[in-house]
Amino acid sequence: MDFNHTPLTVVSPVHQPKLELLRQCRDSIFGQDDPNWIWILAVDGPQDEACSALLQQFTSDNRIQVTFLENQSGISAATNLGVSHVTTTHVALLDQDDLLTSDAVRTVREVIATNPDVDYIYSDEDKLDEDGNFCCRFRKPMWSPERLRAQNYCCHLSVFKTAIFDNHQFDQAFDGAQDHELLLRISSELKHVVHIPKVLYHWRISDTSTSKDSSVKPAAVARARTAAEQHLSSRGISAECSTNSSGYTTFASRRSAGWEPSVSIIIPTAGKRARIGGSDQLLVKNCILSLSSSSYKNFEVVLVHDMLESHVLKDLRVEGINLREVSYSRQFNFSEKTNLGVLHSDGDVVVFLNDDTQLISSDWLETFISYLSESDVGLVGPKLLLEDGRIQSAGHWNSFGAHHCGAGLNYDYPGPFGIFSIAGERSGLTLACAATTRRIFEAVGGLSEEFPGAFNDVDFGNKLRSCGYRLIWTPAVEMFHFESLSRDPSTSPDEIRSIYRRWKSELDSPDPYLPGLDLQIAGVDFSNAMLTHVPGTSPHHSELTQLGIV
Amino acid sequence: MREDLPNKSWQIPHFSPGENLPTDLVQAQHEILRLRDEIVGLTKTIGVLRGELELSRITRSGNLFTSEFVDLEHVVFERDHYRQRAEELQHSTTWRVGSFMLAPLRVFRR
Repeated sequence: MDFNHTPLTVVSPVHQPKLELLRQCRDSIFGQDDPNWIWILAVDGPQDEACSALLQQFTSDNRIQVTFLENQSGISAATNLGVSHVTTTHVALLDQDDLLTSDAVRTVREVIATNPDVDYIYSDEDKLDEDGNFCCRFRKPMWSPERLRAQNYCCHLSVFKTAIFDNHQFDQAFDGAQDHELLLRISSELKHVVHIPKVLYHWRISDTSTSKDSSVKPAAVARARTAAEQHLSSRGISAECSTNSSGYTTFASRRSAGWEPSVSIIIPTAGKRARIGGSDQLLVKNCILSLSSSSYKNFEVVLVHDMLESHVLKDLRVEGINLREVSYSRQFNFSEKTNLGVLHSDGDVVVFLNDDTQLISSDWLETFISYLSESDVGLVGPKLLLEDGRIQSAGHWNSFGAHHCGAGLNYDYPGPFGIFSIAGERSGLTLACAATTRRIFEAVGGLSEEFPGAFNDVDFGNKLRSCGYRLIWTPAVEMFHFESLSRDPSTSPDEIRSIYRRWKSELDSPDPYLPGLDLQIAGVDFSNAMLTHVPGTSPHHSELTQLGIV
Repeated sequence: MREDLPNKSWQIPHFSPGENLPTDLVQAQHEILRLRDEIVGLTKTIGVLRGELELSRITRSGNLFTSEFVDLEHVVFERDHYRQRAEELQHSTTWRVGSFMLAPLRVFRR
């Protein structure tokens, strides 16, 4: 098929529109700088005379088709009707009062021409206020299945391969959240997804739309929450979803473990003391004591210590905690200490834990285990908090270096589009507290000992991503991290050289999962970049598979 | 690009088959971790070099991209060397006997 001449079909469900807004919507279609489009208006039941006349007027252009449902049946039924008339390879969705940018059709067609097998395309979007101003640009991440469970971040503009609708339809039971529900339902089937980091859609703010405030359609929000729960359940994940109060339509999920692996918690320590909560404390003891509140009990603690004296070790023995000691007498190397700890442990799940941490969430291990039950999740980490309750790290933000995302922000700050209130993919996670499986840890060669003090987590995260694994940050688990109380936080020139030698391109590019932060904080313009994700693969995945590494 | 490559790329360790294998299982496991770490890192380097080679092929003429090709061959050779060493370790007596002995203990500990 010659994609250069294949039009893009746009489907718009229509129900009692404000005629002026529908005209503006039409004008945005007619204003396309690429005339290769077909517009199907799917009319939901009888409309008033003026509307019918306007629709009749539209059909004077032979690229416009109007199709009718006899009785009002809702947005899902109308959209399904429209989609059933599509004859092109891909179909875009446009609401009756919204606008496309003038380059939307051309940009999407260019993507399809270079990715003819693309299953799903989504673009950045902004909003159109009552005064006609564009605002609230949403710079979206690359394909992020975990974030999708918590938030319909794809939303507008969405373009589907038409063949998807051979087996799927919008579900009327989820009207108002039907697009989110469909995306969740088909997400595991999508083989090729493209994100266009460019605004192609203006979502109109109105009193009756969730574009203004999600609370105007509580039923739609409730349906989206149900869709998220059903999706998780269909994937064998037991979770309860609740609506966040972040001001955005986002959901938090509280997960159960689902399987019961043995867990090894690796704590490297030099036995440092520091002031916590106003009193002088042995950091590692404070950490181990906090672990006794863990509700998941099948774990061991492996302490890799710098030849601590026997009375100190004896003091660390806490009732109910299985403690194993590994002594380490060489020059400080965090990575080597951690690797040795893992090699002396037995758990199927490995948790990296700094001694300057203190557990807050008692169900932390259940949550970590639940995420690791998904075969493409390589690492999961919590919301780390400073002693005063502010955020210490909400995952890494790898852009022009590696940074702690959200560092120093207030505990309850939701972040742009709610990113600090929902679980989602990250480019990296701090190993002050993070969990992986033994199988994955061994497959990628553990922590690189080229990084004795700094960047071992940045390197480990990039190794995992290069092998095709996702890294998940979740605010459902909270942990205090009294950052760098236990060791010197400085980095050596050798470590900086080494991290850039391996991951220069990753660290020199805008963070693919937190592009909003990139632009907000660093002012980066990456409008010409095209982020493509083929689930289950990475640039090096097939080669590493052949080598037996993954 | 050359300055971005690890210096040690040009100092390939010389493992003699069957010699200097660790006699302790944890040591063997530790060495395998290090080797796999190198393999993953070098695979990434190979990907970068292949991309640069392709770019050179498109944008430059004649033998100008020979240096990139040599770089690539060296790194592939180095990675294969590490891979061979890892395989050798996993077939060693230390590995096989140690793993056999430890397996029931691990199950018990879990």
